[in-house]
Amino acid sequence: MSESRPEMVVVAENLTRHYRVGNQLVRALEDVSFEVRRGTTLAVIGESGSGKSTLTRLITGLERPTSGRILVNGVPPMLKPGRPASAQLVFQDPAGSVNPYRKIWKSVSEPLHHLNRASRKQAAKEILARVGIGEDRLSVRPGRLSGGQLQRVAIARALVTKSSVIVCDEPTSALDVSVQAQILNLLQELQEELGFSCVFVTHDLAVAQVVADQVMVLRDGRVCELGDAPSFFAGPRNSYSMALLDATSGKHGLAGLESFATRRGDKPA
Amino acid sequence: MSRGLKVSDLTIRRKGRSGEAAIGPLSFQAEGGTAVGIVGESGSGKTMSLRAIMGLLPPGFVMGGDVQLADDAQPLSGDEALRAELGRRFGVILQDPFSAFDPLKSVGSQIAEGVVRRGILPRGKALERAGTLLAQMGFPYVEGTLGLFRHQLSGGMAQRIAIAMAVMPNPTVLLADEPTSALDASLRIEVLELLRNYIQTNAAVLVMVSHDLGLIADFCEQLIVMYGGQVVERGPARMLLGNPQHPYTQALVGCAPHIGTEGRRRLLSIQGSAASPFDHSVGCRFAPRCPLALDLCRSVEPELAEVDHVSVACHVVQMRTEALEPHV
Repeated sequence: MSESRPEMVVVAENLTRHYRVGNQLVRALEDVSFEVRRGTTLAVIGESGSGKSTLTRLITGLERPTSGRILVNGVPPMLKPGRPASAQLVFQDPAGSVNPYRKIWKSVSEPLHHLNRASRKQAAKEILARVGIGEDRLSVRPGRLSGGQLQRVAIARALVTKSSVIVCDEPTSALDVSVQAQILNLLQELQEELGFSCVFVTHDLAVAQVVADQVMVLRDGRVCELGDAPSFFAGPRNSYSMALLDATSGKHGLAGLESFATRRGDKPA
Repeated sequence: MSRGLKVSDLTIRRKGRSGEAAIGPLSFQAEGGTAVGIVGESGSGKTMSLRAIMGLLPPGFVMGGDVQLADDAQPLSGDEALRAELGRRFGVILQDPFSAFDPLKSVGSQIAEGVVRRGILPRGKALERAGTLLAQMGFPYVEGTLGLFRHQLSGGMAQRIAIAMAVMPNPTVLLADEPTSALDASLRIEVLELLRNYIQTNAAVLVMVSHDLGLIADFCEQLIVMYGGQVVERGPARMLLGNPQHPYTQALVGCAPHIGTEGRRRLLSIQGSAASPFDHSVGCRFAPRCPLALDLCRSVEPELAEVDHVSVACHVVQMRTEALEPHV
């Protein structure tokens, strides 16, 4: 499928991932199919436990599917020693995703260990400049940077390999609204300039609308709704998606809120 | 008012430093059954202000001003008096619900522990009340939930149990630091409904720190906007967010993404970095980032003044208002 459609950078076909916890089988992801076109962003939305994080691990090759397949640039993502991963991750907690004892340029250039030191430093300097971190910060350690600056560093590290796919796992949920706006704008500018595809995991629908070309809603590991972002935000078709959209803060006052569980159609426990 | 909270001229300064306070002055008054929201960027002083009200400032900082409960004739004087109210008339809800739990103790014994230790309730009564609260928090199997441990809880369960723990002594004031930022949109609503229900049923006051403007607009009656340690705007939440006056509040509202008719887009952003309350020079602290800043803003610190039903600390807004007022 993807071999004949090179514009589709990420292709998931009936992707399934189960875990065995004691005697229980946890169906983290069940029969999930989607495609991400080159240079576009797919926002993955869902509550805790919906399978969002499992999906990020499968796209980046940190785990393998139980059945079905995932292809990045036409091949299954596999982590190989000495080679950067085909899809790079930007984590939720910027402070927790960089080594606190390592200089910034060394953390950024870590995926380039096949290059010599001078080339690694030059590559780190160029990409850090692009995300707004000046040369004077190359040799500082993470403790000297703010949350927003650290998230810029994390984005630089994801982009330094010139990867065609970036997976962002709630990249702005730990940031203030003002810094969040800077990071979301930066991601869009970089995407237009460098042309990478992005899988953007979030539970904030307002953030998803700002960045997404496509939206996929997950619930209990299954796809509830998948479609173009403008159509989704104009009127989702699935009742669960509608409930999620209604639950986004700022849409209406609390006085008018029913219980979310009632609206999404949960049976009483 | 029967129950309520009054904070007057709350300031925070480094020990041994005289002159202008790094954070504050912060003043507000809230009646029972209402909520006050404090918003601002990281480092704006909102969490420090909340910690000062709890009497839990870090070593090296001193608090000035008064915190008074409506039931009392006198304000609570000093850190120790404030700390003595924690777990009695002050309930605290933290951003990370898991940090509120001891991993080696069951949920039941932790919920009961505070009131038992303070001699508010005997253990049997405390466990009974814990069960009642958990049922109110939407847990169908109370007995089973009381026996759970931290690692067996989801984020939503942990935050609901943390709220149960905070309201065990039936506090007059709930102090919440980003109580829903770690939760999904759906759980956020459930948690806010629980908080709203508690403060209305018990005529309690909720003081909530958040950077989610939508949440504050939905939930709080009063809003305080802080920047660089100072209150820059204060007033009724919906009125203030519907028509923000201060350039910083306007910028914050502009930055916040909201579901709208536009699709993929760039957001407004505030250039530069947030000012620290602890390395302030002169003038308005927002002036270096403010598109409207005048020479006056860089040399004289603005004070809060009434503009259009809200209080705003901005020379430009105050001058504009004065110019529009009819001359007698």
